[in-house]
Amino acid sequence: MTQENHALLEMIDVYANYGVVQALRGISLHVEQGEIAALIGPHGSGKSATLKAICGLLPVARGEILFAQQLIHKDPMEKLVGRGIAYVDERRLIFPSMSVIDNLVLGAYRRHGKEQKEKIEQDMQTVFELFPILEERKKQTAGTFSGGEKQMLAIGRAFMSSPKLLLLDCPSLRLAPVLVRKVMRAISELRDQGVTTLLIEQNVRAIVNVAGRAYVMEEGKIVLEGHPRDLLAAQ
Amino acid sequence: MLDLSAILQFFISGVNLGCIYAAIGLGLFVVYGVTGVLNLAQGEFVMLGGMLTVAFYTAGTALVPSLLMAVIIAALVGAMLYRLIIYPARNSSGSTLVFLTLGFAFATEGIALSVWGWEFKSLPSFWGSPNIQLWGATIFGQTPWVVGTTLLLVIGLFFFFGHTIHGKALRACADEPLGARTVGISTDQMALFSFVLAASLGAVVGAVITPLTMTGYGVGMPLTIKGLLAALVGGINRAEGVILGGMALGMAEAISAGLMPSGYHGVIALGILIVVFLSRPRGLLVAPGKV
Repeated sequence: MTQENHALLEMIDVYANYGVVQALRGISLHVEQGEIAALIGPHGSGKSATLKAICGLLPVARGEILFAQQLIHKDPMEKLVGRGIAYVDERRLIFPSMSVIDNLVLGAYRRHGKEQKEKIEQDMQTVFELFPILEERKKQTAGTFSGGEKQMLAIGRAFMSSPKLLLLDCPSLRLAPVLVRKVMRAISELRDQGVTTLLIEQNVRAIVNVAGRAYVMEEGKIVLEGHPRDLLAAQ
Repeated sequence: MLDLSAILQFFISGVNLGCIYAAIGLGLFVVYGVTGVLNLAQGEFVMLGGMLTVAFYTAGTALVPSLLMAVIIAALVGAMLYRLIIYPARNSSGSTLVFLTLGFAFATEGIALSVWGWEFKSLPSFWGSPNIQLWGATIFGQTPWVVGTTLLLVIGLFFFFGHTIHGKALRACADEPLGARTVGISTDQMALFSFVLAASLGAVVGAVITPLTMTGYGVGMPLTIKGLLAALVGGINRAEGVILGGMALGMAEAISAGLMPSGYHGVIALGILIVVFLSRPRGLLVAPGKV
């Protein structure tokens, strides 16, 4: 069996545009089940566009995206959440006027049925174990949080949808180093819970101990692939 | 010199009017909060609620089924407004969408005129509720129904938005639409639901106030303006603000009706709006400079 047959996510020769600007020019990549993979590269290289194409926010002009061997590139984001893809935007996009607990409850919006109720409670506990500050401030209005706390809440909320694949756009953006380490540790722990992650990072050093694979992007294309440690050495 | 009965009468009238304006304002608040659209057809749902209830009731249907059928039809009209007019133009500017709702309001008025004619219509007080005399003031038999219905609507809305997953999902769409999509909430479905909810609210109000105010094909637009004033005075982003704005407007109108010539009603309402806008541009409940 080839490596691609195990891939949870596969992009095959994907093109996508922001209006008249070509954002992706023939992207092909794969992410294995249980893996943490990273997209690295300079600003404007197409990293965010790649995540947006996967989660249905950016229409795919050409090529295919497969998730668990199913074509998904024509599905809207709302449907993809139900399939097990969770996306955390670099702006976090939490619900500022709502409490922490309401943000987390809404993370599980697509999970219906009595059998899910207990699992949702368990996932809530997992989020509180990953980020204890969210439990301490669970009644606090989310809009009053700092950038790092918002990032924790955004990741926690995404986890509440019970994702198979977590897409994180710049999880360390504008965070203090101590918070970056905390967020990266949480991502590793989510992998132990069975969550596969594809994240964006500007700095390869930040993910060298976390990610098992990295793709280097430039001008909408993948120009290098390998273990972050090897890419760092090549740098 | 005003005596106690006159002051009490102003107060009763003010509460009554305030409830009507607040309830209409809440319909505007629901749609605006979720979609960002100022729905100038909100008063038409009030008109439809009243006219349809009268139509069914005079055809021999009992009051409650008449009211329920009126609400269901108004809700369907609300769904049509969103699906056939707002949704196809959803990427247009805010002012375009407002004008579309205005066009829909005039079209609804025209259809109502051709179907029901120009005569005003009324209903008897619900279950024959008698007028009540209180220290020289008169409480019309229908007034407790208007106040009670508004209270129930307010309590119901607060419960819905604060304690149900779908209510929270609607709030999430208002808070951060893209964030709502990332958790799997369909913002289109929520927008449709907000129009249906607002139309239903409007229809209930229309049916309940008809025994008191009568109804006709042209009552929608003046009520939209009053509801809009209530929402803008209190702050359209907060339900509490809309209720406060409605009450303030109702009280001011009731007092001015007692003390000034009837032609000054509109002046009082607009005067309040100007004063509030100059001092608190985002409404009574939001301090200047705050969002």
